[in-house]
Amino acid sequence: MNKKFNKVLLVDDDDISNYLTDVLIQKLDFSGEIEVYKNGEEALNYIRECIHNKEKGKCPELVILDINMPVMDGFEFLEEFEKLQKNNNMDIPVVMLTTSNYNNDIQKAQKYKVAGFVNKPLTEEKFLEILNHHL
Amino acid sequence: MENILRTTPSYEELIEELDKLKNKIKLLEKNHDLDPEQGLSSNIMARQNKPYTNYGVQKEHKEDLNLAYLAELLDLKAKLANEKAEKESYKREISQLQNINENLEKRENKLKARVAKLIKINKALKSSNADLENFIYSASHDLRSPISNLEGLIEILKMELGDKIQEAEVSLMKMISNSISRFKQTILDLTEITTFQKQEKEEPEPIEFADILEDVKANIHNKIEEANALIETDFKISHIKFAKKNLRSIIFNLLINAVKYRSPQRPLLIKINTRKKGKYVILEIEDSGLGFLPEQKEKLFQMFKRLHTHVDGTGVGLYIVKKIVENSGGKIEVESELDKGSKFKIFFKS
Repeated sequence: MNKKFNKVLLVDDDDISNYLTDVLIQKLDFSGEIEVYKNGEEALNYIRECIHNKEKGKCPELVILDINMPVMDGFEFLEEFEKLQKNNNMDIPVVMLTTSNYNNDIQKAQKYKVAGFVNKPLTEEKFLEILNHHL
Repeated sequence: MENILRTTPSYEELIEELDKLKNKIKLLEKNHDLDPEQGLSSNIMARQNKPYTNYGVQKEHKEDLNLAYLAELLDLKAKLANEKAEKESYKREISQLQNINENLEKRENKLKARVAKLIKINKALKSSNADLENFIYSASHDLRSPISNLEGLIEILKMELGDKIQEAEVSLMKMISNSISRFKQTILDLTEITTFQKQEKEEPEPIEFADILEDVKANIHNKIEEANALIETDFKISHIKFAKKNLRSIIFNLLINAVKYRSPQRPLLIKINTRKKGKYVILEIEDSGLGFLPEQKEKLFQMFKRLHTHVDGTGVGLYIVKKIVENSGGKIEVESELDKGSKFKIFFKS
């Protein structure tokens, strides 16, 4: 039996990639709900709102984050998200899901509290590995 | 006296000469034991008036004095001419020096202008380099996204089709998958080319040749076994100071090429050795493979150029090897004979 989340926040501007992730999440049946936002800023606003409304129960329990996005990219999101987590005593894990396999990006990701760094496409094996070993 | 004056036309010089003449006269008076109070002419007179008994002696003495005086004057004249010549040559030297100085200043200004131009060019190059890196980064990212989507979509399609999939469709799927992997590999190679230059900044560290070879062998042991290759080593120089990833890349590419381009006619023997020659440490990798023709040598190190099509490859391996070696101040040489084998020599600056 895999871990199961109530809600997963997916932050990625690529529709097809989001579709693929969605299919996989449903197939593995590990989340009740999936919220999709197309850039970091929208995702942050969503999290701020759920904190503000004291509906922490409805806050996502896992964030799946792309790097290259318009408006606010993955790293800019992480910068703000970590402050937000600290100020509100939250500890929502983040998994990076990206096409980038640049060392630069991997090293940059290591500066943040990131549970995993996965190269697209997300496959069952990759996801289970993260799920079972890093979350 | 008149002659001297004519050769010294300026007033200042004239005064100077007169002073000198006065001094000479004083010296003359002293040397001839004359009384300075009385002046030269009166002294001569006084001498003349001395009661010499012999008129001849008196006359002789008077002529002596005149001759001495004349000699002094001639001597003075020569000295004056000399001094003038010296002054002129001094003036000439000064003007020459001034000329040289002016030339130097001009040159300095030119150099400064050149340096400024070079700084400008360098800046432009750096910025276009950064642009290029950015371009490759975003191009490879933008290319990779749809490709990885395709990869995922095919997985889903397979999942959806399940058992309904026909044999013809299986082979179609395989071809699609193969195309995707080749596309991905090309993008990977392209990004590798841009990233290896960044790795140049990596600090060189002492590395054992044998360690890197073992690492590479372990990495491709399937291929080595498949080729049934025999690898002989002789590391006369056991280690080298080099960026580790780069040395690994060199050995990896040369070894994998030897394995890939083996001859079906004979067993594959790969000889790897190192030695020192002059200021270089040489790494030599020799194989008994397919080899190539001398006219193909040029193509060998070019990007995306491949001499054989029967095996997989994208044609960037040797290009990268050459760049790494040359960027570190070394060089690469290759000898080959068609259907005998190839010998690659890497010259590391030691």
